[in-house]
Amino acid sequence: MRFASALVILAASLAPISAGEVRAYRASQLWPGNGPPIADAVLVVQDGKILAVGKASEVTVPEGAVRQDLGKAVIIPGLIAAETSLAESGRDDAYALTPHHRAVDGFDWYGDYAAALSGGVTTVQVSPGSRRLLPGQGAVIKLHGTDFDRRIVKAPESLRILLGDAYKNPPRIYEPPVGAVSVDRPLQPTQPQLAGSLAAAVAGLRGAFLAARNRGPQTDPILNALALPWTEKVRVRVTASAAGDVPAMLALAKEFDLRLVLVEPNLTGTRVAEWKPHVEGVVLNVGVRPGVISDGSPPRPPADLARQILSAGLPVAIKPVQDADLKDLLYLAGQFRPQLSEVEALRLVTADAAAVLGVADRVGTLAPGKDADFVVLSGPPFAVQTRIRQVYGDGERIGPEEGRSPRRLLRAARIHTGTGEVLTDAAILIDQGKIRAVGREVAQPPDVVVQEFSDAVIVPGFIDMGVTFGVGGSLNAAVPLQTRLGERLVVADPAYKPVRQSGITTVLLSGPATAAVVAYKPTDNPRVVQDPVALRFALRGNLSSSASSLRETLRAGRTYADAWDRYEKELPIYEQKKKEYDAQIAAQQQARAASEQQEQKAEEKKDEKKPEPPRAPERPQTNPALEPYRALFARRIPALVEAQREDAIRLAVAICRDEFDVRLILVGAEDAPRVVGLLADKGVGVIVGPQLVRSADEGETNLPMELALGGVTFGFQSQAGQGSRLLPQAVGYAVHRGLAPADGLHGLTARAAQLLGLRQIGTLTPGKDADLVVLSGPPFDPATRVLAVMIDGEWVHE
Amino acid sequence: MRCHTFVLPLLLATAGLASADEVLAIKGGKILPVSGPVIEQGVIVLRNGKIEAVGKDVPIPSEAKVLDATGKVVVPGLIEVHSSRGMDQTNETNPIVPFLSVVDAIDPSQDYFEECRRQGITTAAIVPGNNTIFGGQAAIVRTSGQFLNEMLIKRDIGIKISLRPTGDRNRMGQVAAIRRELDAAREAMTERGRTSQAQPQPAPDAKGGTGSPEARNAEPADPPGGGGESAAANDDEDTQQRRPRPGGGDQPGQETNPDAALVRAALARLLKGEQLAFIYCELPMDVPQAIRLVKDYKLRGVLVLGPQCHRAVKQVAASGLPVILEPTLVLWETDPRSGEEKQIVLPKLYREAGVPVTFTVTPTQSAGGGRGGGSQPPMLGTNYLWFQAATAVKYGVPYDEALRAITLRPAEVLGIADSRGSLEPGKAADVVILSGDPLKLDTWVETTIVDGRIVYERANDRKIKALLKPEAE
Repeated sequence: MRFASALVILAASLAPISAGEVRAYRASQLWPGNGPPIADAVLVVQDGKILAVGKASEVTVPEGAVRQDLGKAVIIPGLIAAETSLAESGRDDAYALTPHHRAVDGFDWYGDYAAALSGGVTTVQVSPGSRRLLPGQGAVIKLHGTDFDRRIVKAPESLRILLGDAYKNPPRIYEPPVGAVSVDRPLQPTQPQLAGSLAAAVAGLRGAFLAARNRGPQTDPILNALALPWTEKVRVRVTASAAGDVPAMLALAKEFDLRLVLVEPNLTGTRVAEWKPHVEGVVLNVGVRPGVISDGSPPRPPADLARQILSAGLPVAIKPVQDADLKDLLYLAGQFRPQLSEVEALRLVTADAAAVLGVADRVGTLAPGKDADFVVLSGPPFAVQTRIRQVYGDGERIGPEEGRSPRRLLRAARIHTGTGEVLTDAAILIDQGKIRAVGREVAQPPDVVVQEFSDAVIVPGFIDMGVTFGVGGSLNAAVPLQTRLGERLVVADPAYKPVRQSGITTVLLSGPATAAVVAYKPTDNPRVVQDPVALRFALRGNLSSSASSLRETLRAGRTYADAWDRYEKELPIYEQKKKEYDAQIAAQQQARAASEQQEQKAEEKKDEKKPEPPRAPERPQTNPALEPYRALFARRIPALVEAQREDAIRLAVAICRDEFDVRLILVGAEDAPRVVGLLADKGVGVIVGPQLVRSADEGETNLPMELALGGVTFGFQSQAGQGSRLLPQAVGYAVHRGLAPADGLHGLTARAAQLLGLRQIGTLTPGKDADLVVLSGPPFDPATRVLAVMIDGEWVHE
Repeated sequence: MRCHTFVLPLLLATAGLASADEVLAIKGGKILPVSGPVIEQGVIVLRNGKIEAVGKDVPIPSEAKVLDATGKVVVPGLIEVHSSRGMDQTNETNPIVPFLSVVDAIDPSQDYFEECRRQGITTAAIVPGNNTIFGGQAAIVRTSGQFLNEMLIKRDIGIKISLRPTGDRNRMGQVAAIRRELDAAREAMTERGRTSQAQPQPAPDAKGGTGSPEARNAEPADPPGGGGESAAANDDEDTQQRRPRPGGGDQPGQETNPDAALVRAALARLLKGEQLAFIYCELPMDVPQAIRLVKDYKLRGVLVLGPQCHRAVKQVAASGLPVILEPTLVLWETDPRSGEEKQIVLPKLYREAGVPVTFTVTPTQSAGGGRGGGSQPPMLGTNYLWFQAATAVKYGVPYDEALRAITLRPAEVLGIADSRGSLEPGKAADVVILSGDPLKLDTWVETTIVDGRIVYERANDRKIKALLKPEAE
């Protein structure tokens, strides 16, 4: 759902295509909908219609056309759903026979169809009611566009008849309807209406059609509607899912010369081969819901039935089980393989669907003169990883963009880049979620969305180096090292929104020590920055025992890491040797073959020494629980060691820096001011928090200020859930009590990223993720408010 | 409490005393004629219920009773373009009643009319409510008069058509019902046109149709209207079963419906363009339907738009139809996906789309029962016409345009602009004297004049006095 919202915003911001403009789209493949794909194809579009389509080498693109190379992308026609209940959401009238009701009257032109559109569905059939014998007239409608007359592809498309068991036992009605009651107009008991059985239904239909055929010149809307099959050549769409429905309808069709579209036909008592003269096409219910697990017999798409009907020469279209599944229509069509070929499967939702609905003159295929409704896929239609990239309706872009964000240019009075530089009256250019340029003068591409924040200050997104939210509960129990927390993050944790609204764009989460730490961005669908980004240990309580257990843990880790290290070091050497050995052997054999004729001479050289094969190094066993230690000892990730008191800090430094030589960041480190020199010497970082300023007996300790003065790199943590949102305020207080604002800001941004070795975040410099905070004034000023927050180039709070 | 007892007879007396051939002159006030520029310290002369002259240096006839409006503001009487009050009941219970007229339901003694005079509303179009399909005939009335014939300006000006589904209908059914009634009326019109051609032509027989015995059986039993059902009944094996009826009681052409002829006659006037069609659209999806109805049946449509219809503003603008907005002018909408709240200001939105609008007001609780007594004092807000116009000004609509939207524009929509809506010689003498600017919160209506008669004076308004009287010790 969140995904879709981004799309809508995007669709709105796309520049409209001016009239007369010619656009040419080139793609690696183009599936026209009714035949095999064309490789290296080009599609030429003008005024919402297709001008030309074919191989790039054969189609001449008119002079002055805007050319767009879609690269490896694949173009298919806009998809067609052959039956939906989007009109009136399937609400039924009380009466059983309402042929004059028109689904097009119940369709909400202003409804929100973004989900279906982003799934590539551009055209749908809308049905009148779904639980009455003859609920009315269906229509074919496009889900996009502002010109409603053009959006109606065909109306009426069909006269709907429901057999199966849906029509049975409609509600009893008051006849005449309830009105003022008086002696001469008493309230009558309710009356039953058609129909309780198939026989009654068929008899009723026959009578109705008879009356319609023999109707007089009067305009009776019901009879006129019933006569549509003859007057307007409207098809009769019959849901015939019960045994006996199809033969009964075929008989009616023969009698009244009707042209049928069968929906979910039941084959009992009928042969598909006999349908041809009266059946125009068939709509099959897919039967499966994408990704829905249910008990009972496993649902299967009626692929064999589709095969049988196609073989009989009739077009087959499909309808999803529910309207909500429209967004997955292409995926559902793919379920009909392997009984159907890929081309046939695509036809279910393109060319054949158009044929069944009788709208092939406008949609369903990519051919000159047709509406320019098409979908750009990242790969072949039914490949596993294929995604829908773009959707076009009548030549206009209406669907999603893979790059999610357009290019944005943000201007502000001041920009703190996080590198210590403060730019005044500067701008940031953001493209594809990354910062492309920062400075007083930056490039301004023509399609860029410019946003002015006068008087505002832009700073990098904040980093909270320790939080407790993200997995939907508390992390009190130990989390094994092999568990990737990044894969366990929940969607839309209630803490995400308030936290990111405070300007925090990256947070660190871990279980209690010993544990792996994950860094992620608190968007609704959290994005992992790095997993693991560090390993967390603790030195607390009885120091001698916790120190020895830390040593033990690290030693085990180092043994494992060393084994891999050795293996990886030896492997290239071995491979080199092996190559040399193979070459030597080959050379010898060649030499031997060459000198075979001079055998006598060869005998003389019998003492030729045979090279010894090199020995392959032994590959250590992979242990997922120890795997993170390889990164730790390779100094790719740091160790976060929780240590508060001075002795614990000294111990941590001794163990991690001197004994094991890993990158060390202390967590907490209340007593750090006493050992600042040591920490600075050894290059040890500190994560301070949740309490930054402490009142002790002798006075106040401003921990971050002391660290900054001592030259120790530090970051901040909240160790809180939603409370994480107060972290910038807490730092603000530390600034109020003496910490330099720049040190506070850098501790929240660049230094934190630097400590963790995260290169993609922390500063506002080209190439970094576009994570930033727009503030109303100078950072840490109590009057300053957060105006907007951006994560990966998208506004997450505005 | 002291003067209380005297005021009541006085109030009645003023209403009775003023007579039509009396000459009134209002001098010294700032005149906002709406149709022209502001006249400072102008004079306006009313004779025989009409405006005789408006201007700066107009001589005051010697016989005139002079009202001194120095320091006050004189505006045309306000016009309420669409109101469902003043009747004993807003809606009829039956859904298709285009032949009913509000004239038969208007109760001159209702508080509503008194409240109108107090607010400076001199003219109101009483239109049936939205809970029917065809709601009945609207009428334009003066807001003063003891008897209906004194009040009535124009009857049967239009018919209410509601696109909001009624009863257990869905939207398809609602539209289908509207269309079949209009079709039937049109049919009846053309039928009447060619009376000589009485004998209906039998439809050409389709092939294979006569093959089955049921078919032959059914054919002669076909009445022109609901033939399909009777044929179905013949075929029904179960004779106990009553014949099913597709459309229901709101069908035209049913011999059983004695109202059918009335319905057709009423709708025929609509189709001939003699009357307006007040089409109520509840949701944006109703707007294209309304426009299509107007186009298909060549109606003189007036759109009555619910608050959400702003999403269809482009279509409304393209249609060029007059627009009446429901009382809610400012609303908040929440984006279903992002959860963002957005303020929607309808007058601004319609103005930006180039759609001139008129306003309506929220019915106060006193609307329903005039005789019930104990009516609640109206709260400040959307139940005042001037408040609606002031809201529009607040959100950027020009002052003149907002004032016009409660005076001349409604007159134009209702087709009475030749006689009402502005202060011009020859128009009806509907004048309001205000204590200050018409769109200001602290402005009072001092005097309301309808057709040259003073129908309200604040000095004699017992209710206002009671309301503003200091609390008794």
